[in-house]
Amino acid sequence: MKKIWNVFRARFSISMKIYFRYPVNFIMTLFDPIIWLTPFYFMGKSFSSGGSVVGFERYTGNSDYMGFLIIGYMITSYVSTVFWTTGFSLKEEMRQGVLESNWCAPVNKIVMLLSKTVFYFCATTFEIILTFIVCRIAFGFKLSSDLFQAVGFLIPGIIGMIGIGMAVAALVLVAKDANPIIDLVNSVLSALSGSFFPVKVMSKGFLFVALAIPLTYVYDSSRAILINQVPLFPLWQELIIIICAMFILCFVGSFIFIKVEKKCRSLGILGTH
Amino acid sequence: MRRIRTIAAVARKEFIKMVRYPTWVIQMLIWPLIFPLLYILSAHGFAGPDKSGLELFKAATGTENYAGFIVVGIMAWMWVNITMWSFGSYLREEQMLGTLESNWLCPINRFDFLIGASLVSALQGLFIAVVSMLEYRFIYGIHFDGNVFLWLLMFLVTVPAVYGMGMLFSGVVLWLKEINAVVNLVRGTMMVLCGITFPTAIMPGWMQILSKALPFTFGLQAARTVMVKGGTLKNASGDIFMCLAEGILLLFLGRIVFDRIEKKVKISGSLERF
Repeated sequence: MKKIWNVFRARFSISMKIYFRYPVNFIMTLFDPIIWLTPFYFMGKSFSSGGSVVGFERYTGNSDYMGFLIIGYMITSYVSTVFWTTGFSLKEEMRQGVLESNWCAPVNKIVMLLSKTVFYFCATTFEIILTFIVCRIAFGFKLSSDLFQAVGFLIPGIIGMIGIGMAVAALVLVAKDANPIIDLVNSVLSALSGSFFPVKVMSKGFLFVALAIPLTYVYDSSRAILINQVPLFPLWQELIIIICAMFILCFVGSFIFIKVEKKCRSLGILGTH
Repeated sequence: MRRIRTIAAVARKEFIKMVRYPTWVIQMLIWPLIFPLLYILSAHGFAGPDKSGLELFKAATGTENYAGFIVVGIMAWMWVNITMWSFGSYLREEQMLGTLESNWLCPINRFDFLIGASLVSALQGLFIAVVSMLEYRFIYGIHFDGNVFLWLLMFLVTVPAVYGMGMLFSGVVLWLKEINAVVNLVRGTMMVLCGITFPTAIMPGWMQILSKALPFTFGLQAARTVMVKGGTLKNASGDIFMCLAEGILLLFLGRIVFDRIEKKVKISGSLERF
């Protein structure tokens, strides 16, 4: 247990030092929500009349499209953090030539992988608080008082995404390249789970795929709780789906990662890139 | 002759690095298909199940073809994005690998490094533009007006602006020692101000003034006039002229800024720091 704690502490400290080494990263946090949400804001305006987006209201139950988008943005930030920290950190270590030597440490490889994500989760949480403040000022964004209930849906959802993150990291070990893989997985999941639009707009085939992705229920339940939009299913059913998916994805993700990592080690291609 | 050899060597090296990883296929073939989907489906959601919102969109943009309107913007955005990454990451990669300073010591024009890297990004940009047009036409069923020569012209019109921005950006990367945040800032500014997914007329007056300072705004307006609204070259000539004029200005500005910053980091000895 102490060994694991030491790994988490050391990796947290490294990530923190790198993050604060480039102050421009932190400054960008203030601009990121404006940069990514403003295009959607103006897009919504080009479909609106008298401040109301009637078409959108027919899908979601109310016309609060900025609330819809901001919640989507916040959850997407966590999902991106999962994929970028698990997958990209491996590529970074490959490039710096330290992956193989780190991997020689007598520590579980999944602990090595996940310990890198902890600092970035803290940073993302801080960034989301800033996003809330920025969006409150820029777009008049308000939340209902059920924030803790929404967090109860979000945490198992994000843990489930860590399972997919481990599978992505396994892919990076094989392909030796991170950006396109992470971008692809991140975008496909975001696009199909309704990060920035109601999933009901999709055709039946895609809707079926969307309903098979647990992230869809994380977005949907958060919006139902925080801005009173109509959920796809009763919330208790969505919670059961999210929790079941969490266990399945973590098991499958870690299984894939362990198998691929073992294969790469036996082939001697862990550090090559 | 020596300059051409330098440019060719850098371009060859960048090309080998690009095709080294099989994932380049994702970037070239799949990414153009997926990226606009987020915006097209959002527009679909705003239009409503009975498409009642389309009338309002038409009143704001002059066309009901919202998918065409969006993908034209996205294609331009993707090209700028690729160029930013390729210019910026070229220098940043060399910094990270510890080879920037030794390369910089070679008795050659430093600018040729950037030209070499830009050749590969131009090839990528052109390839993605062609793939995108085919995918949008045959997979998404989006109809584009005009002909292939007009489309190519619309691509070429934005060349000075894209490379001017690329040079400006390279200078900033040398100075700030960070690429991700700077790329996000540049492409984000373009996304917000140039009307990539919405008409600029929707923005408040002060933002419209800012948007007119960017050549991409005019380039996009010209491309949409020709490719989405069925206009002629004559209809788009004003926007083409403005895009070229501002683009050439940006090209000069980019060169001056890059030279100044390069000189500054060399004097301060911070060229290789990261």
